[in-house]
Amino acid sequence: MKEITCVICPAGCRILIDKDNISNYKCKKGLDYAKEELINPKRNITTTVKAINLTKKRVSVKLDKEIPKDKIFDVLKEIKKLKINEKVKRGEIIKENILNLGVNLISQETVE
Amino acid sequence: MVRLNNFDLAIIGGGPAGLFLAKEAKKKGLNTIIFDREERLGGILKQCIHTGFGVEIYNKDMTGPELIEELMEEVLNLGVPYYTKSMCVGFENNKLYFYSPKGIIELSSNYYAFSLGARERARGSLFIEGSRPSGIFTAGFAQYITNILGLKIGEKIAILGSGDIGLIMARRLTLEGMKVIGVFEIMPYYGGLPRNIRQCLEDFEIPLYLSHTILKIEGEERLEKIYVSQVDENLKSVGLIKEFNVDALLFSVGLIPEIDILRKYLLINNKTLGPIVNQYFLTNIPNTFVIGNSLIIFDLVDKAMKSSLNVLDYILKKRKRDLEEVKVIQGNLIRNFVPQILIKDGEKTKIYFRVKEPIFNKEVILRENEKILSKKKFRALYPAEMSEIEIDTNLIDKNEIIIEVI
Repeated sequence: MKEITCVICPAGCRILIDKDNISNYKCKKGLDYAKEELINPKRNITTTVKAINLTKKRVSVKLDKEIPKDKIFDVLKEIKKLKINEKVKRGEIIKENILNLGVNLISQETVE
Repeated sequence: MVRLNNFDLAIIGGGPAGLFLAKEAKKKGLNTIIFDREERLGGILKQCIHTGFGVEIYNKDMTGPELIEELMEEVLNLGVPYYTKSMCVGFENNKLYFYSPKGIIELSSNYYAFSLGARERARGSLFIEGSRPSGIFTAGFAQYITNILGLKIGEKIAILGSGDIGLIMARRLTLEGMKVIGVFEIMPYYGGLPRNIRQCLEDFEIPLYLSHTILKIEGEERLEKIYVSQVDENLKSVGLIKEFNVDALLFSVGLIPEIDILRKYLLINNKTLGPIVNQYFLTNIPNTFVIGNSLIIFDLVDKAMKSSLNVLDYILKKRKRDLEEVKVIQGNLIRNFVPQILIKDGEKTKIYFRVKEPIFNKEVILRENEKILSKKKFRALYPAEMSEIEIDTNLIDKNEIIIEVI
């Protein structure tokens, strides 16, 4: 038996997962969330990339899609290798298709 | 000295609440101006690189820098003038004074809205014994060091307090390759939102120690060790003392509204630690409003932004003077709330409140004596969340109403 806190709304239901049986959810969104968590848990990550000769020391970045939870640290390792040394705009792609996961790393902000 | 005159509304503090109010005020034709003491507008959101912002106002899940950049573009496109690196240092005879790169600025405006944000409670407010080594940070400052400066605060980290900033930082530092050995919370329940417990702690198997606190801090120059113990229902230390070797410790033990510049004039509420206001966030100082976290600590940025429009509502509607005032009194299980005063102007309004402890399947009511004026049911409500209840000021007969959980 596994217990997960639903993150869909602030109620934070403690949903119970027992093999294929999901219980203690209070809405359909909660059930869908628990199913997704059971089969393929995904997360977005946000972090920063080192900036060289720009007006800020770091540029905040994020992924444009969620990635499988177990790939988080592999993706972070790739992001750590990057440097930004020219002007970047909010939403601009900094690195395409990271680790062939079909997700892009994009800038959260415009930095000159 | 630079003299700035003839403004309708001056906003002091260009964070999300201040910028949002500036945007909406300008759209309504008010001659508006913004001041901020930092080099860049945006306030604390500049360093909040996680998502969860803008859901209510922009209908999308944004990060702090994304929301601020979008909001700033809107404000600047509307042509709202702003002064950065300008620190408010005085408020005399209905004029504000700033230190700025242009020298001293003297400002006069019909209305003033202060959106000064909040300060973090630090080690000094907790009376933990031990030495004073380096390596001890408030969670928000650690966030600044990590996200803005890009520096590493330590290797093995402990976090005291389970407020949202501490939880967000637990995840952030883990992603940066640091080891977070645990989050210690003196209360028997956590202080942050349930979803942050899930996404920030459970996802990374970071232990949460409820009913635990730090008794002693040890370290010559750098922090070396903390001593942790369980506490009983009176929050007194009981049982074994555990030792943890850490080189950094974060305090995430609450925020306090920042209103220092107004302190000598303002009436302060001893629960919010912000000013006493009416439903338009008008303080006891004529034509002076306080909004955002300098009024009351909000749970969500969107709420701090949206509620700032109460100010605009007041300015735009010409109100009769000398309307009757009603006091709102704190009742059962309510931790704090705004407004504390309602003007009986015949309009509907909202009271924003927090509960003292988690409640399940209960009602929050507004009543005068035994007559219930408004009620709202909650399946679950945590102290971390701010909620709101509506009230029609027409329904009030007495000069006092009570807000409470039943």
